[in-house]
Amino acid sequence: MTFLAPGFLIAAGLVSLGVVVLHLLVTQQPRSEQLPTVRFVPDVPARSTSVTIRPSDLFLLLLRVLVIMLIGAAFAQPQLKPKHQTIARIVAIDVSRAAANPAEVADSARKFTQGAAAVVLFDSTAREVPVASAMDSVTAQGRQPRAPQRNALSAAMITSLRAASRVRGAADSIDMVVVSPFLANERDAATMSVRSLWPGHVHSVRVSPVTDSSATRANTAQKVRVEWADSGAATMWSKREHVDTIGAVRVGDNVLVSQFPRRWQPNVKLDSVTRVYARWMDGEPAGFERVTADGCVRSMGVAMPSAGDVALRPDFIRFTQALTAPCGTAHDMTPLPADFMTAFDGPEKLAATNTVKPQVAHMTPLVPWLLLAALIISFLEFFIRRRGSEAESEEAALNSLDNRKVSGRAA
Amino acid sequence: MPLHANDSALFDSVRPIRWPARKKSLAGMAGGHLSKVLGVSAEFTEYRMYRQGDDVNRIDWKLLARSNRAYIRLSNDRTVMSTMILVDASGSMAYPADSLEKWWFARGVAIGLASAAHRGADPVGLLAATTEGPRRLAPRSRRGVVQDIAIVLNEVKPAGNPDLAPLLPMLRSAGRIAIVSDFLGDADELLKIAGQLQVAGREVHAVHVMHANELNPPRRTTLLTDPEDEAFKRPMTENTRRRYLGNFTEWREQLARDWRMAGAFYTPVATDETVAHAVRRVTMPGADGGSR
Repeated sequence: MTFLAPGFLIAAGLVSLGVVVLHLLVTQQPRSEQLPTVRFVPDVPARSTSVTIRPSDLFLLLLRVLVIMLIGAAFAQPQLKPKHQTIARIVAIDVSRAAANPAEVADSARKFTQGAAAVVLFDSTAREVPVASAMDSVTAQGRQPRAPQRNALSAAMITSLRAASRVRGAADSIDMVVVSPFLANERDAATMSVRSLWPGHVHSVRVSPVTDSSATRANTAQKVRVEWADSGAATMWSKREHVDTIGAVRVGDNVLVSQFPRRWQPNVKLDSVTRVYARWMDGEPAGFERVTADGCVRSMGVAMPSAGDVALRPDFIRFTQALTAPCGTAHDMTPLPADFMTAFDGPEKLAATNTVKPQVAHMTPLVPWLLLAALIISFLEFFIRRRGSEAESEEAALNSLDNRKVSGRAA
Repeated sequence: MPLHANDSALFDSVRPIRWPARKKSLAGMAGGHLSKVLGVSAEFTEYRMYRQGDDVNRIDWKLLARSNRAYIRLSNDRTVMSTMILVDASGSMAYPADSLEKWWFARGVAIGLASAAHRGADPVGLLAATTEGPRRLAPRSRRGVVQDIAIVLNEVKPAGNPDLAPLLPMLRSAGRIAIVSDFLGDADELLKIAGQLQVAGREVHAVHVMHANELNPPRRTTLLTDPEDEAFKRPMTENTRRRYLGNFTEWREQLARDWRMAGAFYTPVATDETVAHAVRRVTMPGADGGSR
């Protein structure tokens, strides 16, 4: 059995030691002496504390230590059968449309997913998939054509880091493999920052990037239709319960500043053909783009101000031009340069597991059982204490009876 | 059982002490205490008109010659006062358990009182309340009676909880009764019977024996038990000690009031004083604590 977070076990041991020390402090009745006029002493419970060599209440001490150690062991995340390896591999596979040939991606991935500790698939988002079914997922993703997206590499790295924190106890080193065409649109400002969180080498497996020009600007020659919720095209909108006012709306890089009454709120589910096209300054969607058979429809929940000179300003012109821009999003599909790839690969040494931060929030399957056992045993203490207090009550009742007899005799 | 080794020193320390009666005694044999009866001794007190039935020999003939009226001479009569000492030998007197200091002090006070009474030529006797039954020595005025009392008390082992009140009527014949006890037993019944004896003309002394630890318990946390009942336990802490002192003082003051209201002479004595000093306080009229 190994522990993913042995510090908790050590802490539990220290706490148990403290409990043992506390049990050496015995609270007991003070030394007994005789006094003929003892009847004038008020009857109050009294205990004195002394230090003994032998701990008191051995059974209770055993229970308490057991509870503490179980809780400590639970938080230490034990693993009964650790599959300890020299190297654990984490494979991140780009399943977006940036790769020219999904079969090539699948072939490259297959070599690394066998025996991998974790597999991460990424396109516009990243998610960890079971290793056993990873190749099925790769194949299925390859069959679904997707529009090229951005920021995928950063998300893949973050998900891989999480997976590495989880599997760090199963190996001495971790090999991170990224299978991707490594195009420019997959990089963002955070990519290298996220990469720097990984302390070892990243094995980059480059596959052929897409060469189809349609991927760079989807639907460029197709029809663009803009509809306004205020004009009755409110299929993607519902009326706001409370109309408020907001100061700006943004489409792409164009910002239009004015006092906009906000009458509509989004009422659409985003899917593969629908995306947010415009946003209010507080981040709420102000417009959607939906791909249609002959182009796209841009539905705007923006109510243009009826007063003022907003329609005369240059930023309004840019705003309207952005609304009528060709459907789809421009993507830079050029391969990432060699210097980036060198920096991305990093040092030649694999990441040692002790340099990877543990994922303490994760619970191993044994944790709930250990906590449950600790809870049950802690309930036992109540029964033991109750039994003890009942015995003390009986003794106190007998003493009280005797006291009454003595007091009556004295009277 | 012979005398205790310290008894000689005890006898020496109480030898000078006398125990004059604090009230006129009843008629009896000639002794050292004033009697209620006016007799014919040489100590002239007053004249009284002759009444029919008086002894004509007591008529002062010279006064009759001068005044032509018949008077008889009266004088104070002096009698002995039979003294009985009732000693409480209950378990509460056996304190501390190892040295029995409280019992030995009570025994010394009893012997000292007996000695003081005997020095006045009074018959003195003893009644010790023990669990085996009362140990009684009838009042005697012969030499050696004090030693006899000491020997009897030497044989008594204080234990149990014998009642004193039933024994008190046995002392009805005595003119003076001294009760040496800590009054932790049947104090109320004892007081009631003592009051009756006092009304009947007896001089009753209540000598309240206390150990110094009872007046000022040690300042340490202990679990106290009653020597007469091991099951009776109370904790003594700094807090309970303060309340104990209050309770005990209140009880002692009430006890003193009750005995003095009953006409008895109440004297508290404690083991932190000498036996001779305690005996002197009991026997000397007007001594502190010994007045009514």
